[in-house]
Amino acid sequence: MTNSQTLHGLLFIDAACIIGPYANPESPPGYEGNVEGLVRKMGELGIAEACPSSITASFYNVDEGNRELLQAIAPYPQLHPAFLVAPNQTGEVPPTKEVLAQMPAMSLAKMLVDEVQFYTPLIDIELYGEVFDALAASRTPLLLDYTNFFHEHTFRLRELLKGWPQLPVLLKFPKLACEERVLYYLWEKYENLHVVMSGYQLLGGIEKAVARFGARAFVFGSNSPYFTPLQSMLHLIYCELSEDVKRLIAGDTVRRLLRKEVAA
Amino acid sequence: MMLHEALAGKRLNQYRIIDFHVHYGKWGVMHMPSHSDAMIAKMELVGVEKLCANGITYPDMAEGNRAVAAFARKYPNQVVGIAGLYPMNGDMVEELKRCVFEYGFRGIKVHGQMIQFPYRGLDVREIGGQWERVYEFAAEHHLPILYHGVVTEDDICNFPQTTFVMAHGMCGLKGRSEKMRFASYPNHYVDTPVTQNTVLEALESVQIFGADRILWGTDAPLDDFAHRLGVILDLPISEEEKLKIFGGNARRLLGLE
Repeated sequence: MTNSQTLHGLLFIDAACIIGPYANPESPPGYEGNVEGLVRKMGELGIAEACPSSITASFYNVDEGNRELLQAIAPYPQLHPAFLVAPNQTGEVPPTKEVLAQMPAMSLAKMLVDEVQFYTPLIDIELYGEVFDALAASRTPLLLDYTNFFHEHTFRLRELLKGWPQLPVLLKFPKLACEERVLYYLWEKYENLHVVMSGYQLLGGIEKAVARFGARAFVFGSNSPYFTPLQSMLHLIYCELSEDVKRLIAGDTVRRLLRKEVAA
Repeated sequence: MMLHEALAGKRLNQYRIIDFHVHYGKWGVMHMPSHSDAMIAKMELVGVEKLCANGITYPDMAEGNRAVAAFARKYPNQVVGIAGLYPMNGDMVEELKRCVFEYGFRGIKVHGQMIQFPYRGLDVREIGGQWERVYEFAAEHHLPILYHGVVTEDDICNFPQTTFVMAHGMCGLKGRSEKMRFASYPNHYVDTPVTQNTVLEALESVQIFGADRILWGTDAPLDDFAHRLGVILDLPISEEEKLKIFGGNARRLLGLE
């Protein structure tokens, strides 16, 4: 156990972080663009485990990026891959069942949602059914990463949660706006929705939602290297929540999902 | 060491943290679970010493200023009043005099997006020609102006005795060249609350503006105090520089020494 872990006493698992060449012209401080840099930062702040995804998979080639990621994290048992998944109509990516076969037992699937930039411009329930069917059948959690505000997509998100109730969805967005009112509805209706902390920054917001929906409403994820993991870590550390709830949000919920265990 | 105390969840009172960017009241655009008086308990939990509160969430700025004055009276050791100004609410300098001489406010907040439906889209600069009088009053009474829109680069250049703080400026100025241009005005500062706060932007701002011209703020209740601490605490700068950003600079600008 590192010194930092001793300080906060939480076994954080970062469900939303990226490794690979940074897309900006200059790299942020301490960001080495590789798995060693991630591991060093985790040690510095006391983050026990992480589920990195690959920038190469996001911006360049899904298949190649996923394979590079597996290779890069192989020496580090504390890292679990977040594999990019995408529909395979064009044959550019293998069918999701084949992708799942390449993934270690404890892995996340990740889908980037952006109007123009990535393979998945929006969640089309019919078009992506093959992806969701395969993930749900294997109970592989899906990190759904909206790179912008998602209010125009909420009805599709609702259809996903409703149509595949056995598929755990970790919802990530850069920053919350009026969509939060939609989240309350979705949390109420769908147990398989877990919101990644990094974009949920409202003062007192986590405590309020946890009081109503329980600890499963949130999972720790940093959105690093764009944010420092310290932001969401301190947010949770200073939350007015019991230590049991903090442990669940910090890592235990994601650990359970990675092990494909069903909630008690 | 401040970082270790924060990681242990300790109250950070001894570091005398001032949040320069706080809104009193509630905006309809978002659900705000801990706004207004509820912010006090949250700030104490983290150990923030003072909130600089403005009432620009109110459609009527004078009403917002009255509410902030009552808030500051209720919590005199924790709340510093900041005057919200808007030209459609009458003579801004008269309102400013009331805020400073009657309420004891120590700064000004202006926001270019406060125009209500159906006038949204109008340039707030076109509505009233009183801004120059506001800047002169601010210089005379040493009131820093926290601005989100409204203020132009010409204003910053033409009123060198007035202190301008760009709200969200640490990441609102894009690219090195824009940051360097605004940093060339000694009367220009930036604050830290932003929506898309990248680590890169934060460090670049410290390198270009220097730790003496950055003020820590959160945008509470839209953002959590502890969440925003991390932005500065994780930067590879000295503890002394961090303390300037967390409160030293604000204390100097607000005349709180």
